[in-house]
Amino acid sequence: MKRLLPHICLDISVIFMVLFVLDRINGAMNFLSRDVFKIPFAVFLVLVFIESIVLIVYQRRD
Amino acid sequence: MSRKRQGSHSSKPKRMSVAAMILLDVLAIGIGLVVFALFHHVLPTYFGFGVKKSEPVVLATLPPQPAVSLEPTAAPAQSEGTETEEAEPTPEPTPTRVYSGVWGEKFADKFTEGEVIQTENSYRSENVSVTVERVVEDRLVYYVADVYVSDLKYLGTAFAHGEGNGDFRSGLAEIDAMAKRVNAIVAICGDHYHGRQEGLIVRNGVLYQETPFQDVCVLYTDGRMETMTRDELDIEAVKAAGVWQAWSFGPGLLDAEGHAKTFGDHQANVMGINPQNPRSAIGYYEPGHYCLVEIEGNRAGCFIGSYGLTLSEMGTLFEQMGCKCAYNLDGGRSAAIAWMGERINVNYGRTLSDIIYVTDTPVESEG
Repeated sequence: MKRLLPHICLDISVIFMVLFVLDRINGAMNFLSRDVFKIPFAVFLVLVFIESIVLIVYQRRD
Repeated sequence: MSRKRQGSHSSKPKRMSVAAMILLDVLAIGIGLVVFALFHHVLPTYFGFGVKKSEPVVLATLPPQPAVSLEPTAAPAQSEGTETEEAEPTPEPTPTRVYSGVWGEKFADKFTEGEVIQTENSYRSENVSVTVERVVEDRLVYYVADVYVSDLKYLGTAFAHGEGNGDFRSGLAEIDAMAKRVNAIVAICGDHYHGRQEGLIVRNGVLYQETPFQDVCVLYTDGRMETMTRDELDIEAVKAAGVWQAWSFGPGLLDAEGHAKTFGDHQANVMGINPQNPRSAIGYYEPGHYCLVEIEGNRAGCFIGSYGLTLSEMGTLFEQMGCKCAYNLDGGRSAAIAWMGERINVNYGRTLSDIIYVTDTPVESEG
């Protein structure tokens, strides 16, 4: 899991960057204002939080 | 020692190559985007997944059409006691023309006195006057339907499926099928409300949805048409003013003075978001006088020499036509226009969720 988590965060962050750019291009599509965006975004925040804690712990161990 | 080292080395899991790792990440990103598109667009559009349903509310009903009287006007009564009683014969009474609807008299020269006059590209009756023109210019082909109605009940909207004007969120259908079902003289595609959960949606006086969206076009019951941005939209004030139709797509193409808005087409074209496209739009001259415009373009391998228009170019076209207000509707592969129930433009291969149409039989208001 500790090896997978960074990749999950990386992939989701790229997906959100793509959606952000698409939303800037075509705001009528409402990519960022629907629940289908908000729910994964909340999950992403939790994952990034966990990943950050793990990273800090590992850095302090080293 | 060497055995220990070998043992400890063999217990470590094998590291994936960097190339394989990047490939897997890209694959995961692609799958993620597809899943997002599935839940964002495909499932709500085609299966109604996650779409909040609200009860329709009747906002406005149009007054019933006044009774038509064909009785001639009485001849002027002769005054008594005059000495010329026997001299002048009573003149024949002249029949009074009875005008249909609210604007029947205003546009009397456009309507007939009861008969229907139809040609291959025009239709005139006592209620409506529609002329469709196919305009061919340099690298551009478009249709303009010039519409006069004596009453708003001849300018309606219909959903994809169902009886009469159809049922809200009833899916997608061909423009021909919808136009035939409602006896449309002319019809163009609507605002593709079905693809979004947002927007002010009023159809034939019935409010279906009032979530703020981007630019909105409102056709009031007094025949005025107005476009407004999301920030300008005061839904309660609009509802109080009496709404016959409200569309949510946009943008509005003209400013308050009737001049074309600009949309940064050059930059947009570089990014590929606002290229010349097939488009549909509705224009407004004055109460009772409107136009429906469909622009042909290069989409889905259907190229007839017309490259389409950008939004700014659309605005300029409506300004040149003398419209006071104009609103962009669903376009691209959705751009469609039908005359007498038959599609007359190129079929770009996409079905529609709704149409705007003109008919000679009063539009049934669900109210």
